[in-house]
Amino acid sequence: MTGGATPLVTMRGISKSFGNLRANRDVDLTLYRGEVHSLLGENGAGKSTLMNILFGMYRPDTGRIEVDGTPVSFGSPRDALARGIGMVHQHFMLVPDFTVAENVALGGERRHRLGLRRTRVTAEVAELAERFGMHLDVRTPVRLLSVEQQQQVEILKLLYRGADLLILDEPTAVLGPVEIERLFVTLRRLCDAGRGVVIITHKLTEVLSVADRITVLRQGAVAATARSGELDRAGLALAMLGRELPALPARRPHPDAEPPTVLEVEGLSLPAGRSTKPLHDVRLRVSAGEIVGITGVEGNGQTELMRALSGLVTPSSGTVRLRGRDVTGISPRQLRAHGVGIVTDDRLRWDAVTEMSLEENLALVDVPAGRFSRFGLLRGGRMRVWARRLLDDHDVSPPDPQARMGALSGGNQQKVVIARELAHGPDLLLASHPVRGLDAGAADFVFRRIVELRDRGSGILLNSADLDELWAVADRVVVLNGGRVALEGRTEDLTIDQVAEAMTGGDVPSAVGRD
Amino acid sequence: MTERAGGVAVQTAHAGSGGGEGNRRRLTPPPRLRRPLAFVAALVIALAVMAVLFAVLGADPVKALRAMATGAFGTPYALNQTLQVASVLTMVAIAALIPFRAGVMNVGGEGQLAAGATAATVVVFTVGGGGGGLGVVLLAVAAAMIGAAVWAGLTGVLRAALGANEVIVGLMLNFLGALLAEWVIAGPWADTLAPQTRAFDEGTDLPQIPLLGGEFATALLVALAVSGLAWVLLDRSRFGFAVRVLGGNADAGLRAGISMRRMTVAVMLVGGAAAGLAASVQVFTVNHALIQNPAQGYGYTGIAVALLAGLRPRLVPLAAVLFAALTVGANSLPAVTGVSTSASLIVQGVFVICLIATGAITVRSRGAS
Ligand SMILES: Nc1ncnc2c1ncn2[C@@H]1O[C@H](COP(=O)(O)OP(=O)(O)OP(=O)(O)O)[C@@H](O)[C@H]1O
Ligand SMILES: [Mg+2]
Repeated sequence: MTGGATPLVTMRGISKSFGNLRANRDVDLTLYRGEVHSLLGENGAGKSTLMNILFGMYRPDTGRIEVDGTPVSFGSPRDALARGIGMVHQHFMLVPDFTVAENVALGGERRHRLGLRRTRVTAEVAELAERFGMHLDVRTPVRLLSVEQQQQVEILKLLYRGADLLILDEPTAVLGPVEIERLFVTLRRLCDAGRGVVIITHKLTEVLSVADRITVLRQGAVAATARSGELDRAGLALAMLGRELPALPARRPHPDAEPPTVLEVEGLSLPAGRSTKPLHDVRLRVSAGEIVGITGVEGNGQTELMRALSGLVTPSSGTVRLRGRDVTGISPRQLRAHGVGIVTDDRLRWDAVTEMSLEENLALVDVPAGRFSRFGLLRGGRMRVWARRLLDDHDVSPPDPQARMGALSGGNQQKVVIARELAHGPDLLLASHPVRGLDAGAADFVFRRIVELRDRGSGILLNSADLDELWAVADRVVVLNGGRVALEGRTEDLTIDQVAEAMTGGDVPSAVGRD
Repeated sequence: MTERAGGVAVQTAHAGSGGGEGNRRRLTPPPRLRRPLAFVAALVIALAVMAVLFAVLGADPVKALRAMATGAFGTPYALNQTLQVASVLTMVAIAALIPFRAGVMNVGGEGQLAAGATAATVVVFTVGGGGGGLGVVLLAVAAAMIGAAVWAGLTGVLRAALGANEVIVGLMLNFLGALLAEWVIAGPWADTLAPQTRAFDEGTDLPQIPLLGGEFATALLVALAVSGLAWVLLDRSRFGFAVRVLGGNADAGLRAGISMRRMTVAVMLVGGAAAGLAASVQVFTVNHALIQNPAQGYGYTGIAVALLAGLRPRLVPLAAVLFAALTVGANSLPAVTGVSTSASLIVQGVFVICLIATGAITVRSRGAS
């Protein structure tokens, strides 16, 4: 495919340090038009840093970059965009009340007289979306779109500005299996149209299915680079971790005696909000020693259900009982007092304060509840000792309690959140995508902890779009469709096909205008 | 992902802008040096602009700048005055800073100063009959703190209960505060000559600690204590923890079980109390009466001081001295150069604009990153 053509991008000898932490060491990377290049590596391996350098957000300490054979030096993302390099971050940067077309045109190169040219711009954007296999009504306000569609808008923004290289940092983390398939179709079309793609992902299956070329980073340096097909799963894991991945412990056979109920939800309903989906009469139960999986196509009420159970929104009707006690509508802090751990699905929005230190983030829920303080003054020493232990246990890098949360890699931030929520051995864990952004090793560790928790008699509600993940650990699965429970049953009694059908209701899934 | 908490947050460049995934930033000088460098640049540019300004106004720029320096620091009297103004500015800045750190914009310093000064005056005339010893003074100080806290708390309550915009409410209350003072001045304690109340009796003062032959050492000590306390409160207390969580990420505050409403009122009460203390210091060391417009713009300058200090209480006194020097120094411009004192306002304005332009201080709306 490359046939000796000039590479689209060459990065040579790139190094970057933050203080005395070496995030990238002497990295070489070559990207070609028409190829999907997958960047792999453990949490904190330096993937985002390398791509941020290519996108002009950081300056490398050493090394050089060429685009189409010409040396470049980017002072800002604007410079990078001018040379056809664009990046989609995990946290989207869209104006909720603007339409798709307006968001795409906003800040574009051709920004003059949008008012007069609105119809033309709209048509152009619609044509772009169509060409690359995105099913989007470009006149819809962005706040009504699903996460998948918002991601498509981010990609369209770059295409509209004429990007030749699209860098996607963990785009699949927020998508379900169906949406991932569709994303890959789009990426393939982009390549066929002569563009280049870099995709960062932690899921080896995805790498194997989409990548033409693979680069593995380990502790900031290139550990392996290969064409697709030269490495298999085991080979990739070995290059990435330096060891093989053990299989998860098998699902526990169900005990004969009926275990006590931990969580009982009845008739839970919630009206649709400005950008949230409704819930209708949801009923579910989690027993002690049980992992119940919640799944569905993204935007069918999973997020809202988890939020309602977590006390972040108050349901309009229905009851939530915890070990028989009515806890409907109580605050997250009171829930913590009742032994509930909460991992939400939007880390940067709900779970982390990037400007505060790791120890403060670890104590985020405890301090307001009165722990780690005396006479209103913080007991910094105690907080630090406790934080050190958690950081060590969860292999967070750097394990420095005073590091700023925002300076951590995405996966390491997630580890901090998980550490905090598991620290008190919750009686009930409400976990949304708990391993999102974690590398295979860390995800394995988290699932082991969750299984351990279950074996000690806690109940776990696990919201996940990854059916493999659910099949590996969940005892029961609840499928949501349009805010209603569409299917519920023991994992061993269900097939993936049954679940897929319940998720889509037999129709082609479309997230717009469902409610 | 497209939803955002409303409101406005103030962010200072020293904290680094965001970080984590999705925050764009440009790093030219190392972040640690960026702010100090920006500050020096702002100072140099501001001096240059002032020099040009003086030249345009027909004064010798070198002479004018030297006059300002002498006017601020050149004599014990000048130094005293600068330190006195700096003391008041420090406390007013803390009044703005504590709410800012929680993401609540307290721009109501002017109104809070007026309410505090009025409350202190009312106590002196009603309880002390226009005079009285230390007991009356201390009671008046307490009244000033409570009065200003109530004034600020009103803004907090309106925002917490009705979702009112605290900036607009704060500005309205600034006008009302000035009117309140006018009303009291026009009352039974009015002075026969000047638009102010009668002067307090001799001996109605703060306890004196002599320094450089002046009486402002007490004010200075109180101001330093306030900034120290603010530091402990923000960095070392449970209350401050909640303030920083809300300022950093209000949704995470909700997640952590912190009541945004209660904290909004609380930070305004604490800030208001600091403004009240500032007001009473001003009343008992400078005016010895309730004067017209008792806040004299300090409420606004205090905001600039807080921002220049990067919202860090420990740097507030330094930033306050700088702004005090600009104010006091400019007072000697007319005598030496014939340029009017309103040049003082221009000088401060130029400095603030330079600070913002160089990025030494930044104000952004929350969720814009
Ligand atoms: N702004 C920053 N300040 C200080 N350290 C940083 C900063 N950004 C990244 N780092 C550090 O650099 C290292 C590499 O981070 P990077 O975000 O590139 O990792 P990553 O490979 O993307 O990991 P993940 O899979 O968890 O997203 C990490 O140890 C991180 O803590
Ligand atoms: Mg990353």
